[in-house]
Amino acid sequence: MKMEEKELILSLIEGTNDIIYSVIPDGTFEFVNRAWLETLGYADDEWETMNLKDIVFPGHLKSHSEILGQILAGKKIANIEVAFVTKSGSIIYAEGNMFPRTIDGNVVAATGFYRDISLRKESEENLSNQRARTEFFVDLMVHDITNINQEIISTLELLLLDGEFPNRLKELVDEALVEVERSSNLVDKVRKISSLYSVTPQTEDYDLWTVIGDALKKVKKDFPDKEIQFNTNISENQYSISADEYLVDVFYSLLHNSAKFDKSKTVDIEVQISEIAHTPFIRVEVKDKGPGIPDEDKESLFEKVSHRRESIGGLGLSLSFVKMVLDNYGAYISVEDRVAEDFSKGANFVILMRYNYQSESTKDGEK
Amino acid sequence: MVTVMIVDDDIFLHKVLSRILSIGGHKVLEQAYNGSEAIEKYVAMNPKPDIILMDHRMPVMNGTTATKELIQLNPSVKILFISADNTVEQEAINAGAWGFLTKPIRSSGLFAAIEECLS
Repeated sequence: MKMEEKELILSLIEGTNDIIYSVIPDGTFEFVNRAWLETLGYADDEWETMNLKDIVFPGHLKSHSEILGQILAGKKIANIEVAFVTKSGSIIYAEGNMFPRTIDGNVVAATGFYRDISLRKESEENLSNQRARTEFFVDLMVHDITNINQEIISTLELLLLDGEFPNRLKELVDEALVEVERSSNLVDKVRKISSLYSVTPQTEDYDLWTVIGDALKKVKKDFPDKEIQFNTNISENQYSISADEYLVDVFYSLLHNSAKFDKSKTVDIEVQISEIAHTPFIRVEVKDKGPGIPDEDKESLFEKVSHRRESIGGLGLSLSFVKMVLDNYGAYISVEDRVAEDFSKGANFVILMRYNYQSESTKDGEK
Repeated sequence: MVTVMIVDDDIFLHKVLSRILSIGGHKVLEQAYNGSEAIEKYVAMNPKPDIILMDHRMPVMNGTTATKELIQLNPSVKILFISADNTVEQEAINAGAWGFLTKPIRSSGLFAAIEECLS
């Protein structure tokens, strides 16, 4: 190796912020770089008499000695995590690789390249603690509020079942029951959103027709006083989607909003599916004849509630939830006007999602 | 008339559920406030209830553990879960429960499930 090359390599070793060192078989250092000295807080005249045992956190010493043994036996090991102790006694978490240094084919030392990951570790730990706290509160809320709601529902039902309860008050009790059920639905949605943040989704294949049908059944139950006229071009077993249990909630939320915001007694909802040529994606359009979404609200509609314009009232958590669920499948949702250039004629929610197969024989079915 | 045992740690729920069941023509034979108490009382009961309404999250012993033990005692025992925590539905079914209702429930849903369970 030329002199200039040696100087270049040395300047790289000394210039990096990564900790680099080399130890001989008894653990004594034969080389440390500038970052090693600065990170661990030792002076240039101290390291030569030091041993690896002096800087490895006692709790990691056994496992790190085993790693060192493997390196000295000729093995390279990557992504090692170790805690170092600085001269002042603080802990530095590091991640790196070790490999043997050889002369004439014989291992003479073990060389380590480590990066200080203390900040990352701290962030991960904070995140994990925050997650645990959130899960605890959500869990508490879901369990306790649901039980309270159950008690209110059962008590109101007892009033209705009592033969002497005045008829003139029954409507009020019915309305109260609907409100308590709304509260329960909200609690359920918070639970689901919380689990989307904390659990990796487990996907399985869902028949899109069945999922939409299940969502529609729930929506019809929510609006017993409305007639919901539903039209679709999809049929059973036509499109299989890799999704999780929340796919039905996506369609439930969209259909529920369509029925909720359309003030007519008869609500028209249409779900149209079309394949996007030469791609494994379908375009799912959920069209309604409600009040529509003004252009200035279209962009922020799926954002977190706190980021939305105040004018988008009544949508609660549902559309943020829809987007979060779809994001998990790599699907995309946007909103358009049902009738181009006239938002007041109703909304068209467009989902682009990946599908698994299409059965030709069941194409163009009517539900 | 169906005879029922209610297992739930919520005292108020015992009260309202018992009254609803009684209006529906059913009879609550026994009540327990945790899984362990449920097993103890079930063993002592004579006659046994037609159905056990079981919560999951309770002190001392939870609903799925109690269900496993009750099934061991009597494989034909009918246990219907009524819980706020629907993430344990599969666990409850695997433990041997006949069905699972997620709280909150309406009386019509409860009566229908009881009827279906015993039909």
